[in-house]
Amino acid sequence: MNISNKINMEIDKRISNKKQENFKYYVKISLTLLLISALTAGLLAFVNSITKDKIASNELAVMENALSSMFDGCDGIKVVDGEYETPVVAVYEVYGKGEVLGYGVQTNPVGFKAEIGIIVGVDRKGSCVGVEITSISDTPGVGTKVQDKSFLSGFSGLNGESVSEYDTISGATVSSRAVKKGVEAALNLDLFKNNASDGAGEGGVR
Amino acid sequence: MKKESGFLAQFKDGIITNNPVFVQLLGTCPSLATTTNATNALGMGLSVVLVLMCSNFFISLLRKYIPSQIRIASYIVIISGFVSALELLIKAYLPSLSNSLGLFIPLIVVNCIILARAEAFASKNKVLPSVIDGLSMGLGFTFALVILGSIREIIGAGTVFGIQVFGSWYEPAVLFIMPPGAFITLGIVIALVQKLQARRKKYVEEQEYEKRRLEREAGIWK
Repeated sequence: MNISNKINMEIDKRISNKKQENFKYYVKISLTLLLISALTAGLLAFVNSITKDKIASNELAVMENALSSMFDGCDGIKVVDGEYETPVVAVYEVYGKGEVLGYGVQTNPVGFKAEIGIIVGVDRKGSCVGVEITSISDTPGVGTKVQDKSFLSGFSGLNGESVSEYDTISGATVSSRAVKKGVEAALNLDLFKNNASDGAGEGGVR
Repeated sequence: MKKESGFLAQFKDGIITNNPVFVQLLGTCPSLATTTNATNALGMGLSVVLVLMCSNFFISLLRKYIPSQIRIASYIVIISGFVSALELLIKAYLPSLSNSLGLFIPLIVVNCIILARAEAFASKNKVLPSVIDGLSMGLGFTFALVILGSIREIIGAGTVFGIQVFGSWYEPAVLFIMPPGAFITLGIVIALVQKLQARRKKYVEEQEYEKRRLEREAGIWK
């Protein structure tokens, strides 16, 4: 065996050693990252399991509070299952002494900056009994004018058709138009049209 | 005794001399966006304190086991884990705060104060000093935010922490609750802090100069 062969063998050996070290190194960093991610995921799963029910009941409580101020004698609400077109998110039945008093509709129309959270109370004939705003991030003092009592209470008594005549607020056109759009969408749900044609009388389809 | 003074120095550093917002100019985005009133500012500040302490604790604990090539990725995973957990907790137990802070809670993940403290302090120091560092830097951030939030709320709404300061005669300058007001307030407060620090530095220098002059004179008379 001559010298150059020996040198070549030595070089080969070193390269393969280096490759092995590299491989070990990559395995090590991947495993470390995997372990950290797994631990973090575990923490999140744990926190989620604690807070999940509380978060759901918080959302329901906001709804129930708003609706009980709109309907006299409201003593419970229940989700109505179904798919709704935007901006309507969810529909709740409002109960009082075992009877359905009306409905609460959660709508999220897009305002000036982001979605405005609105709860619309609708009676069994399909006319509006109250509007409440749960979240708004529009310009303070300008877009937030839509939270004024005088604007919101004006919706009461309107139905799916007459709401389109309702005046928006000058100076807060975008925000108030968004609120109006949300209320309009809530009042025009198919659910109420069916109820109205059951012979509920005034306020129904004319 | 010596250790205690070390912690005190850390607190002074985090809250005053090296305040993350006013001096280091870190985390400017949340300090502009969440200071529309003092309550929001306090809520945001305390959230950051909590995340900063937890992330500093774990990063310092794991600093010998995290290879340096993947340290940033590991830090971000740890930080985002705590932030997401905090977001769920706030949603569950403080729903009104979660409504008003909205997106800015999840955005704590990319708040540069937290990554900066992880990289500059927690990855090089023992666990206890790292937690203290998280606490003091977090409190410095909270302090800055509450100052900005109070100024903006007083001028822009006439209230502070929701309590009426001025009578009904006061017409609030709504501009101060809006984004331009945030920039104006932050700019003025930073200018004031710089002015105070410059005056302090000048005072220290004058003292030293005076001392040297006296020494020199004493030398001549010898």
